[in-house]
Amino acid sequence: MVAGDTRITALRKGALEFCVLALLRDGERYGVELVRTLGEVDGLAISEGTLYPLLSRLRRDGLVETVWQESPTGPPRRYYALSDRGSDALTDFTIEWARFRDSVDTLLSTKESR
Amino acid sequence: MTRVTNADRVVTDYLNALRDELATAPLAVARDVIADVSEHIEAARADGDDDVRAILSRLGTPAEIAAAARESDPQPQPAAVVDGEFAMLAVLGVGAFVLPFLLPLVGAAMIGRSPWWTAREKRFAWASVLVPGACTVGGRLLEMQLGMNWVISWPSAIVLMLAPAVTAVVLLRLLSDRRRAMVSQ
Repeated sequence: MVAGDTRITALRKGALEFCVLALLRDGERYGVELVRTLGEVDGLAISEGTLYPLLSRLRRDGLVETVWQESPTGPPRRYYALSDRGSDALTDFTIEWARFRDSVDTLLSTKESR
Repeated sequence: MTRVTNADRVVTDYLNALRDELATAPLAVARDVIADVSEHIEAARADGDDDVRAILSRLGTPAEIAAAARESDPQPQPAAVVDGEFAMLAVLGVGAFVLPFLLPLVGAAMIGRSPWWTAREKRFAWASVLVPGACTVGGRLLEMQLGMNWVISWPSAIVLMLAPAVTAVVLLRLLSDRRRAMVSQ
């Protein structure tokens, strides 16, 4: 059971960065908003703060870009946007993920129906 | 008032704990994460979220965040890329004395494409070139029309050189503040 838990966690972690990229597909987002949205997704089971190391890596890897913008309520804020590289990575993952998911689903349901 | 002070202390304690926990994480990640989390808390509070404890509990424990930071595997990164930004500011500020109006105009256009400044700051850079430029040309035309002698265009021309330089200094300070926020803390 415990071993299964850590494997699920590893799966979540692998998919998480693409969830971040997917949220940016329709336009740039403010960091806090991005982190809140993901924190509320059922099944991802992450705390908001643990996303910042991920965002930091995505930024360094050039998959996202950050832009400073004015805020009506405080100091200027950093917004995240998808870079061209990030967009390509997301497209690739979307295709691979669909294949992976379908294959796993097929195997899981075969086993169940036995 | 007391509540604000308490909330501030809770936040300070949290950030200190996070800093301690991050001691063993890769340095570049640790710096980023502390800056990002501080910004997160500050922004959530600015947005009217008064319950600091709730903000922190949604963020997760410092230990959790640090564990995530240790797992992330940083690529060696080029030091924050701002070389271009210094050149832009030089073209704006110093350019005003070399080739007034034209070089600052190029500088403002370059600054307009940088992610390091906000839209308002970029408009400010444009205005520092265009407004004195328009005053100089418009003032000279008016003077010729009215037979006056340089009373508008001459001061405007001085502003045309000084305003971009002052703007460049302001933008430089903003840039270094933002870099520092990302690098240290």
